[in-house]
Amino acid sequence: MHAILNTFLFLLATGILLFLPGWIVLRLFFQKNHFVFLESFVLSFGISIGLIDFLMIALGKSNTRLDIFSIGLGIFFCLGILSLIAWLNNRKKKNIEGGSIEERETFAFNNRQSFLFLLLLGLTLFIKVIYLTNAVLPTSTDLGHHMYWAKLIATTGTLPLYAKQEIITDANDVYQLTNPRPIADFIIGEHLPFVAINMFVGLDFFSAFPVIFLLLVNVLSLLASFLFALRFASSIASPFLSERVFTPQNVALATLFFFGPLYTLASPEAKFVSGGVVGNTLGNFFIPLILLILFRALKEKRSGFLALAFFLIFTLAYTHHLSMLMFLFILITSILISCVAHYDTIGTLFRSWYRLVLSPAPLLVTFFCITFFFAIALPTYIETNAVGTALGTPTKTTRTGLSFPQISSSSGSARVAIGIVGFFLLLLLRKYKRYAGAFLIGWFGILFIMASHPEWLFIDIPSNRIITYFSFPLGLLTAFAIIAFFATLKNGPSRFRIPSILILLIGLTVFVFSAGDGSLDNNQTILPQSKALGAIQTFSASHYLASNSTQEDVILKDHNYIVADSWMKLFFLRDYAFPLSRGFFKRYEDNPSREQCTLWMISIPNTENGKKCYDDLSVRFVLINPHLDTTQFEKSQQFSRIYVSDDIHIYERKN
Amino acid sequence: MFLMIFIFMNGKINAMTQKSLPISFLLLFIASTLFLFWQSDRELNPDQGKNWWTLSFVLPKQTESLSFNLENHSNQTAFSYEISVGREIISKETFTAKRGERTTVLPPSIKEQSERVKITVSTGTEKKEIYR
Repeated sequence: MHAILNTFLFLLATGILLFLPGWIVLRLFFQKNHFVFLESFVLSFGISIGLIDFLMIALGKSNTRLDIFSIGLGIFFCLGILSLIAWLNNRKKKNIEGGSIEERETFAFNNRQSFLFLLLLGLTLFIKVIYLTNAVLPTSTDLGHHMYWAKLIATTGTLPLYAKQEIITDANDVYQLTNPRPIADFIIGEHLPFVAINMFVGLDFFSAFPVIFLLLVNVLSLLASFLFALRFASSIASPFLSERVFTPQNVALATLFFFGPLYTLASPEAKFVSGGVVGNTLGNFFIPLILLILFRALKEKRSGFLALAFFLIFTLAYTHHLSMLMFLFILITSILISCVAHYDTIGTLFRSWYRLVLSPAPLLVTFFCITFFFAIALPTYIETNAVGTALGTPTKTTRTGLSFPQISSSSGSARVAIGIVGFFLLLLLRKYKRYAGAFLIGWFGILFIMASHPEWLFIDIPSNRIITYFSFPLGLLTAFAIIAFFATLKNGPSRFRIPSILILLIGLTVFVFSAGDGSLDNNQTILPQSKALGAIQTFSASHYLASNSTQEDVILKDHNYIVADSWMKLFFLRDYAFPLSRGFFKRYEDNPSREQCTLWMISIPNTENGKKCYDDLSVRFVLINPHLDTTQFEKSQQFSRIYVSDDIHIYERKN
Repeated sequence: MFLMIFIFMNGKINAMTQKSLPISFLLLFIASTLFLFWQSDRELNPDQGKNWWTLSFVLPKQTESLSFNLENHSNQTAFSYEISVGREIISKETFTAKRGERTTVLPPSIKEQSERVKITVSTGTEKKEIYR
């Protein structure tokens, strides 16, 4: 019964907050036949995220308390203004050009294709849900960090200052906690959708809702890629490819196959969902969506689509820094490829872009973006000047690029092999002259360079993060290659005939290769067992301490051996770095200049160093895993053991 | 044979509504959401398929108080405790604690001792200790 109620509340909140506003905007500014229904559905989500984010930021910056009433009124107010703009616009321009009936038929799915869509999507969700069965409980470290900020915003009703306390040594060699110092790791757009859902229907952060929200974003990113493939394939028609086989629907369904049931668990798919990699998951939704709408804006020369693309790009800028950087590189590369491909008609090309960009709708959105950026709020990474840290010559070994076998292993051998064939096929068919080809070649090419040779582009970002973006163009190229291959074989009676049995064998070989590799990847990612018991004990111990400590009591916990320890901070909401934490041992070894107190206070509490840290920092309570860390506390007369469960002990240091 | 490979992919375009794709997605997603909420409810339930219990001081900051809580999420209901100062046992009792409940035991307070004051609670073969 509780699950049914939670499901209802979640759907109600996402429907009203994260689909309806976007849907209304689409209906206000675009004709119904500008988009296929699925496009409207996916775009509604992206637009709504942007609207909710900017509305909440504006409310917060104007010192209005964020709650259900202010957000509800804000949505009505925003939609009222947008309705007025749309009404004024429509008075001037009664008949906006819409999609033709032929165009709509081009993207219609027949019964069999719809059935296959349902089958692939059902299989995809089934595999993801099976994986999440053991990971749906709030345990992952990253999700705990993000939900701390979300809960802080929901509790205080104000926008947070992204900052944390640090341990330093002063001039007298005394350890002390600093005042909170700014951190650039978090961006407000990563947290506001969670806050809005929590405020609207009261769903607890300690429930499945954060993971289910990320699952929704993840599946919508799959649909965005599906839609990109649908539009892209309609633009790639070639006399070498059979029109019966190389249809937008077939390419889109093949994309769904390679993004859906195959490779559906590894990064950046379900693993990012359970791991709470919020920014990347949202970024992977926005990138294909923006490319889709941008591609349509350029191809169909619609300024309204360009305005929508600008709005979504601006939303991405307030959602995830790394995804924004990736997107900018993809965009610049795609534009350069378009320019080079059209070098003989470059003047015409620039004139068409000029007319498109200097239309009222894109200019209005640009004006809104610039005003918001300078007058209301900058993204955190701009405020803290963190952009410079991502640019420069890579120095650490984790940032100097991946070898081809590493790329192949990370993205899936079958996808890489067939995707590269697709890339060269696209070049051979000379499709780089069309926007679809230029976008896909640019998307694939620049991410490949960023992942393999980041020094060429002065990118100083962990290469294993970059590679997670690579799977999207790769999957699209794989789908293109497979369908194009069969479309070539089937193209006309004049071509050389290949026996049907051979075609079947080739088809089966490709299928078995892809399915085997993709499902092997899934098997390697599946979680062996649930962490529920460990997490429940952590939450119970945290609740005990939150009830029995004051604002003056400093608490220390261990990150190495306690399950879901990052979620403990949600019980206190005192600081992002509270409770203090003994981090991974490797971090102390790799960086000797890092503070060592958190390590000493748990590993060697009875030494002079340990005691000094306790005294200087006034640490009173310590949470540890008794299976690995209890001896040093048991043998000391300085500690009382005040709480015991199977996997958690709490010690109190005597005064 | 070629058509067999694309049996699903080729077909006459008919009046299949565009809305069927998002609606089918929604239905599948609702089913997934319902299952995941149900699963998380089970996992967050401390008594659902779990066997554990905790022992803690009621007033951790009051050094003379020996009152303690036992939160029982195990199959055991019969517990016993003993209080010792150093090696000397000063009190020993049995008590019951139902599954899913927190039981508070209120032994008399004692003055602060130079030796460790330990409360040991046992059930079956399991034993847990808290001390000051």
